[in-house]
Amino acid sequence: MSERERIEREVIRWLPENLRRLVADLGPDLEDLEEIRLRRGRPLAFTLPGRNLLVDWLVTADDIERTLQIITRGSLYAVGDELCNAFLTLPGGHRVGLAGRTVLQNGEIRALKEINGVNVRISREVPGAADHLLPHLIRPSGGAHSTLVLSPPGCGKTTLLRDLARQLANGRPGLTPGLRVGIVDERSELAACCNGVPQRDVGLRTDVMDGCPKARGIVLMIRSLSPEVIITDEVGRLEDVEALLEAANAGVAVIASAHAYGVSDARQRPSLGRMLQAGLFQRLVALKRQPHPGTVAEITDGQGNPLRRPVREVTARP
Amino acid sequence: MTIKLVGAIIVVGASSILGFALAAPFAQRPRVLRALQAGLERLETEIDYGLVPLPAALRRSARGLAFPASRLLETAADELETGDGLTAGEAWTRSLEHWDRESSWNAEDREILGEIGGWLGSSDRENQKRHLRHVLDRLKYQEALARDEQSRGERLFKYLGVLGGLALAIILL
Repeated sequence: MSERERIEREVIRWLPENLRRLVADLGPDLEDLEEIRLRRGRPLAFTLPGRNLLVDWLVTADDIERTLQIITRGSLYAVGDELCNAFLTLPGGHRVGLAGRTVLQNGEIRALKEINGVNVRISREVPGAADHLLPHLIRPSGGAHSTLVLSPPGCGKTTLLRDLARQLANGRPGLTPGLRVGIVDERSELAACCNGVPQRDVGLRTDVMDGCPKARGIVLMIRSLSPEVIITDEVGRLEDVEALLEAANAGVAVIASAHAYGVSDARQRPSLGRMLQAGLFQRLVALKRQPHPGTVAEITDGQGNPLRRPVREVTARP
Repeated sequence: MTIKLVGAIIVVGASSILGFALAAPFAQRPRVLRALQAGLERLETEIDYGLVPLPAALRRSARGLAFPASRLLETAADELETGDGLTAGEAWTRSLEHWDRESSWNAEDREILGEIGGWLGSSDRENQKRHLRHVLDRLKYQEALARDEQSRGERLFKYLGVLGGLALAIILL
């Protein structure tokens, strides 16, 4: 299936008829489409690599209402909880972010009303994104090193983690026989579960705890699912430190990502600094966006000393 | 004399059957209204407790209902799943238009059912429930009226059939 067909089948069908035509008008650009943005009363916008395209169509309240209805299959009532997180996940793992007015109760978001913005993010899987990195993260015994992946947003951390999960769980001849992997997917981005089914290939021996707060999820995983590796996105809160310590002491390797420009930068962040000081990680990997997302900028051991073997370029282009 | 008697019995019998046949349609509307209420009540449960997505909720509610209530709900589910980008309300309205000819609801019932198209699936759980409750109350009232009409209409045509037959027989004898 070509990329164009895939986008048509998985994304465009969730739009109302009149918007479908506008997206189709993109022509060959459709294949690189990253986001479709609806903002009430403002032009329909497309995000393409390196540019934001505005289309000559003012998005109406009806467009947004219809889009929501189609995405929820006419069941807005059934997604109340998801609306509180301001996003929905489509089959295929595409994310729909929502903007509106939040209704608060005791400081918690109870509902999202008067939705005035919809952002359809087209997600792409990059099998093989972790190919070159994986050998550096495997112990001689076949287990995994605890690893922290660092980069600013948009450098391919999530894509990398997902492919690491897949390869670790499936096993790779000569490196690892295949490990029990547990994914704690707080923001439903790694496995992109839709009705409990992972929409992304996360491997044969992988369990997913979907929508679960990281710290709680890590503890639950260790207790009940006996993973050999736990993979989670965006650590960085103080409570995460304790959960990670728990995992380390239980002999479970943790592969996590965090926002930071590089290894030295990470030391400055209070929570990350503490994790590094505690020696939680044996490998630190920093990514950069140039020449393309997923490029490894540096890879060091847990103390920040560069590894002797250099890492070849990670090719992450789809 | 025997022939006359047999003839008279045939005349009375035939006109009674005609009377009963004319009375039968009066039973239809209350039955349909009853089935619609049962279906919508189930729909309410699916939405309120089950949080079941609408197409599945409509299908489950349709199970075991009498025609045309069952088909009304199923067609709405079908329309929702065609992928034409219909809203739930539009799918409902289409289904309603489709089954209009074959059903025995009257203009008032039709209007109540039509209003469902205005809110179905487009609000949160509480709101859907409130709307459904309101519709159910009104359908219940319509059903009571229909039953009233039924008992009066049925009695009228049945008596008319039997008594008309008797009168005819007496005249002819």
